[in-house]
Amino acid sequence: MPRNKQKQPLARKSAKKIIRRRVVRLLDAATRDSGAIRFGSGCGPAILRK
Amino acid sequence: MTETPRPNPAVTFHRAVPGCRAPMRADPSVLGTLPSRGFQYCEALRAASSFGWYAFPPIDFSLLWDGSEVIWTYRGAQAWYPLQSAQYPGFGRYFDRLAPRRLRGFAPPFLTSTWDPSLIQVWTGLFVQSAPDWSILVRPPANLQRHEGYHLYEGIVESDRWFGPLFTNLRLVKTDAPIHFSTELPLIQVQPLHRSAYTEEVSNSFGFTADLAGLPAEAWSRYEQNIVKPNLDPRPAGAYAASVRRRRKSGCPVHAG
Repeated sequence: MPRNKQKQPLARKSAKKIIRRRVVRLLDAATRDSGAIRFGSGCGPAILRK
Repeated sequence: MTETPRPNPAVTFHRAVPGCRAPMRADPSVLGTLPSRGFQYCEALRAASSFGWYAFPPIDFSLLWDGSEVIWTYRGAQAWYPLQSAQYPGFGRYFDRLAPRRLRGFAPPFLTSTWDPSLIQVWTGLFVQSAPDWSILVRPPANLQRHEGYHLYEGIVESDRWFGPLFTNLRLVKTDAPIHFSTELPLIQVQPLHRSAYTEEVSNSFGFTADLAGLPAEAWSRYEQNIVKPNLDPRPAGAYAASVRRRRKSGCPVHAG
């Protein structure tokens, strides 16, 4: 019984909250971008950086 | 009449991201999603649907917008990540291995968050170029059910002189719900567009008859031929489609007939 009680709050969490729990607020090494290249509408920030 | 040159190929795609799905000819059945009646008999629907090529996302990925920031994840990732600018997983190293030395470190990003956080730039993993005087219209796949979670913008790119990544911009509409992008579904449709078709002169000038009384006799005759007669003497289903296909087989669809 105690075990079930512990799990209940997790089960009630909304999908949004579950997703939030999974967010790692660190950059992913495999997808880290230097920001060296922008194109199209992304050009604006690059111009400002100059 | 001056003929519009038809280069072969009009558009060339270059795969940059290894293993990403190659573009494919746009499909008259819109990948089997059109109603069969439309597919069989409606040439207008078929022609619009099959005009150009589909390009796909290079990887399955998801975006989640909470109204102020975007987080994302992709197939194989263990977590969601805040999105500023992201490379296709592992692409930076791959690019640097193959690019000329002076271009190392300049791989195009896969996803970029722009000024407006709901506005996301997505790269297909392809580069594109077109024949001289041919542009490309990059747009949502024609007649494919739109995703309610985002809105895709359209753009005309002079890809004969601008060589670069084939990308699109989308606006996230739905908040607090993951929006999935699959390599199984086309992200965009790329259509070849001769520069002469969208000059200012062409768009600024159009004919207009302000009143039915001003309809020329020739137009009345064509109305009779195309609309009235088939209703008085019903033609076989798909007669228009058959005539268009016959004309297409007879030669250049622009100049024949």
